[in-house]
Amino acid sequence: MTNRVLTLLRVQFRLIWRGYMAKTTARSKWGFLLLPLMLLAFAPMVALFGAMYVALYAGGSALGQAHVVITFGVVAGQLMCLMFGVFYVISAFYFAKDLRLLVPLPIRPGEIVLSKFISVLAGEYLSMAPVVAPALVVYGLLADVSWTYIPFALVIYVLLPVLPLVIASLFSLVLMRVTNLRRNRDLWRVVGALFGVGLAVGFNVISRFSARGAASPDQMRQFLESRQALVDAVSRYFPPSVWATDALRAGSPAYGALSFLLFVAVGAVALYVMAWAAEKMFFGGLVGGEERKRSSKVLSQADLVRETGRTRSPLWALLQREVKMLNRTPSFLMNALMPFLAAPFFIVLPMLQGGATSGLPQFSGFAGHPLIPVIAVGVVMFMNSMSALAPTAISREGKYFWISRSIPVAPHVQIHAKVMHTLIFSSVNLLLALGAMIYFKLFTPLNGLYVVVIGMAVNIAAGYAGLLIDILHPSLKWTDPQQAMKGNMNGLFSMLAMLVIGAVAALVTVLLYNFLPMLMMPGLFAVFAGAAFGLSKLAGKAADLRFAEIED
Amino acid sequence: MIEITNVSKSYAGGTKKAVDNLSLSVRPGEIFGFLGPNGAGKTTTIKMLVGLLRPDSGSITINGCDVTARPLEAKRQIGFVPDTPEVYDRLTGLEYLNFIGDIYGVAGSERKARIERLAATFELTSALGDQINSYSHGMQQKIVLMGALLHSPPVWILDEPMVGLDPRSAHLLKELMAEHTRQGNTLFFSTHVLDVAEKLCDRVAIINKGRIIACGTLEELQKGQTGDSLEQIFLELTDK
Repeated sequence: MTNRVLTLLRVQFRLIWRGYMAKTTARSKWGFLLLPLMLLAFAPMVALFGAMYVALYAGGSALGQAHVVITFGVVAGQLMCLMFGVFYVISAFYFAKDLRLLVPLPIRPGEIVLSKFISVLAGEYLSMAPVVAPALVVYGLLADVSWTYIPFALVIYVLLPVLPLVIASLFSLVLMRVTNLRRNRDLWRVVGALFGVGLAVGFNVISRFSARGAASPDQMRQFLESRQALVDAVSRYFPPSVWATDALRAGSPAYGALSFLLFVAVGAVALYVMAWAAEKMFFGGLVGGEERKRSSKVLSQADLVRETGRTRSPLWALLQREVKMLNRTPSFLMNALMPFLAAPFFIVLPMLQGGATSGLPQFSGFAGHPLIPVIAVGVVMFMNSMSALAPTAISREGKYFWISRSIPVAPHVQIHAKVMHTLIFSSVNLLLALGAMIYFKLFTPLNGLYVVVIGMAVNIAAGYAGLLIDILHPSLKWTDPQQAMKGNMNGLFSMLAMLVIGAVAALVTVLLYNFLPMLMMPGLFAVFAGAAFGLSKLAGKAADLRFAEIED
Repeated sequence: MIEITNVSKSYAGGTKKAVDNLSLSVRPGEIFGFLGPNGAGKTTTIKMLVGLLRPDSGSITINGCDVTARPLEAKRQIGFVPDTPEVYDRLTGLEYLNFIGDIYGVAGSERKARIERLAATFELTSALGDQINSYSHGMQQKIVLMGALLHSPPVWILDEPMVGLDPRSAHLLKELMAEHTRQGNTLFFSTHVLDVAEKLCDRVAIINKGRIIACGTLEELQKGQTGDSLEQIFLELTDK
């Protein structure tokens, strides 16, 4: 069994790697020199979590609970895996294109599932790194840990996503087996994946309410206690997070070793249970996925007249194609919606738990502060940098890209249609920023106007920046739609591009705030509008050149 | 009219020559068959004709439009069917055809009439409301063909168009091809079915290892060869 799983894994990783390196020109290989820069894109997030963990360590030490840093890191990592796991797993298990080649081969369903599971697992190590790694590093540096800390921490990091992903996998196996019996399977599958997200957010919200009574004059203690409720809630359902903490916390090494063994054993048992469940259920759900619904209704003359009578411009037709292809591919749609689902997880809920709710009234006094719209624009920008929609717009076409390349519509026009499509989604960022301002009593008509106007320029700039990156290096040879979006490095490059644009905007803001405050907002608008204009021209030119060059 | 002049194309950084100094001319009103063994350079040539690959050297014109200098005008002249029928599988057949109609600016009434006629020809009317991912291979080939012919292009470029079609549809396609050239239009297609090429084509070219090794009418190809049929001629020429 192990040999076949390893063979499958080798093929999968080779496909992903070749998909990325498909264009074997010397120029594209230089892209890897940008790897350190790409990691830099995560720097602000890592710094943010690092600072939080240092503060948590200080607060925890005062209460004799410094190890809470590890629990928080571990729980946050596991919650993340659980939250997005269902939909990553469904995509890898059921929507990968190579499944139709694998199923007829003499391979057990458990082996296919295990190899797919490990490829999802590998992706999780990168995703949870900015959240979990700082906790382990901060605790390791600040606490008086034993020699077992580093090896235990490494193994725990490797095994950390196993249990939540196994839970997500079991849920997915059952969901796909059951929804197989129903109509509108795609819809059910999206709903199922959303349920996974709801589950994780639910944990957070419940723990928030249970923390309400734990008010304390000491802000750090309140912060800690409110999160302690979250940790308690999760620990009840995820005892391994407590074992992980006990394995790593300073003090009794013997006790640590026992907890470590427990943690490892649970991971191994979980994998075994998943392989067993896959043997029972995987093919049942998968075979259903291959059955396509054929409508019994024959197109009437009236339908034909109505449908063919609506002629549209090429730009509009291209936009409609983008909308339909995204909305009807569950994996793409979920990835597109991800930033909106993740934003509350990363920003709003921690703020609410941190006792920010009790400090709400003091915010309203800042509504007139000139930096409030700047911060809101920053939030819009952050949301844009998390979206993989624009930097995968070409990649998502995959094997259908020949159509875009052979139709008589100029590539730069096609790029505009794709950016228009991203704007449908990124406009929600504006609504979220406006909603947050209203919630925190920071909304004024002028603030609202600034956020809408400048935020729109940010959205357009982000759209063209993402498209430009994808045109230069599209990843068209994917077998699983998930690879086209989540497994696409262009998302990271796009994040980096937004970081650069953001740094320029921040510099301009600081200079104008100090020397010409009246021009701060117009200046900020000029930066983003200029970026949007320049990037649109650049992306258009690049498309006109690259569409003829890209060889599939 | 298709004019290919001294076209070459290499892969793998210039080390593997897929098409080597190829020149051809396909006249209006002509069905031109493009034959060759697997890996001979047929699909590479066709991809260059439709603008999916850029030649390393040489020029290609479609009805007088250079495919590199004036790609959009050239593309408007072409109806293209690739060797694998892969079109947006999440769209319904009708949505795909409407998309193509919008892209090529086919007016509503004209579009309706053509979709009805083509759907009836290929017996696809009842499936037009279904998503393409529910179609069989042959049905996908039919929808690609319908999309390629929807805007009545003067030049048809078809890569293995008969693959996956049932005998009735293949027969109807051959009739459509003949009808198309009778109206003075141009047809360039590749095939491995030599019987079809022999019966249908006015002229054929045989490509091997990137070079044209024979080009002309069946009578012209028979000169100097021992065999009479196109199959025998093909085997003799490609065996050398």
